[in-house]
Amino acid sequence: MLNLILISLLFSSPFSSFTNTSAISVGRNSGNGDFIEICSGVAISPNHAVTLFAFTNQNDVFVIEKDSRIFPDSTVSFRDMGLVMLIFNEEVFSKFEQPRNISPPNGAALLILANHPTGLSAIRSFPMEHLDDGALLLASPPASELMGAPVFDAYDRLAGIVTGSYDPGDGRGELMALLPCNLWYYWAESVLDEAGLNTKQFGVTAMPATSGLSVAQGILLLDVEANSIASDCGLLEGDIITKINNSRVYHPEALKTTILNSTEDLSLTVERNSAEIEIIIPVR
Amino acid sequence: MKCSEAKILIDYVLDGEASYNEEQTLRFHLNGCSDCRRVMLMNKAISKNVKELHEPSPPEDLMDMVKARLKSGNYNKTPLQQKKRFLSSNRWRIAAVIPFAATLFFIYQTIQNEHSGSTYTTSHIEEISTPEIQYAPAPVVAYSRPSSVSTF
Repeated sequence: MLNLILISLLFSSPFSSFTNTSAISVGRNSGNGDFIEICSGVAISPNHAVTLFAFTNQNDVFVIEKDSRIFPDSTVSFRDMGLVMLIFNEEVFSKFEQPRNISPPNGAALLILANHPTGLSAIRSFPMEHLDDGALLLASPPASELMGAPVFDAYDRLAGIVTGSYDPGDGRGELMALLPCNLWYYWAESVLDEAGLNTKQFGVTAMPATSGLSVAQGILLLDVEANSIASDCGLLEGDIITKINNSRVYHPEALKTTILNSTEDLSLTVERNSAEIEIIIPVR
Repeated sequence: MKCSEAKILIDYVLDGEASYNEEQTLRFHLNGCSDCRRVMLMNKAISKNVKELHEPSPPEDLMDMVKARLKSGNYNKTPLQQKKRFLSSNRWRIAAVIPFAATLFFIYQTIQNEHSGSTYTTSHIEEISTPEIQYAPAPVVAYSRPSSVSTF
């Protein structure tokens, strides 16, 4: 029996099972070339992976697949969200998980999968609270191995990416923050569809509404052009779009890509002068 | 944490008996200790492979053998005892030890190669021309979200 165990060990790769996940390892050479600095990420298609923008400010970022380094052919960054998409002309990922419009509720069971060349770390956690911008505060202390790690919910769905540490300032100390998929899946979808962002001018200048402004969270319209689609639909300067089709939104990117991809009328929930109204955007 | 303590915790974690704090402590240690990481991977692989082993099935003629033994009235001489006697000669002992020693030798070689960086896995052998690569995890950065203005 012992022989059987040892022989089966000998002829099986102890690493192969760890690569059977959409969690990937992203590396970059250190300044003096002594070591490779690594960050996790997630494959969202055979040709696309998402990782942290802050990690990819050098040009020599690569994905580490076993003993190979695979360099992306191009990248698309989303600085406001702190993310970057690595794009490969060839199919390089056998396992991937597309992001969806989900954000796990507080207390939901989550699994953080940090993939490093030295092995896969699986850590259980759960969201403790929602931050003002839609990010989630995880019940996990800061750990460098978690940076960029994808997080999965109890249904094995991609729930988001660990993006950095955050101190809520109430004595709990630093905790890790999760960027849930609902904040960036519109962006990812538009990059995957190669739709680009050249939408026909909708007619707004917008920014995320933050708690610093003491207003509802959503998309703040700084300006609405006269005789534009936005003005024709009834949107006004100062409006805050809080929901699209009843889903919370926090970033103009969500509105932009939803308008681009929509095949039916959109329902916007708008807060205006502390009152909530509904505005319909007809399909374009 | 010493490596000896980490190796005890590795067993606890793999058996699902470690507390959350013990898991965290171990992960911090593994972060900077390649030896313990190797032990963790090896133990994980052993657990996985043991789980995947098929349960041995009894010989098809077991029932017939039992019935024949009951019919003969000879209850002392079991097939297992017969087998033991058959294997008790030194010739078979030596024959059994050779593949076992060879297996141990191959595993030792594999581990040695992994140390020297010349191979990465046991099944997928590929020469790496560079010396063993050192990895360092990206530092933790504070979470912040710039709010830029966009027009569309």
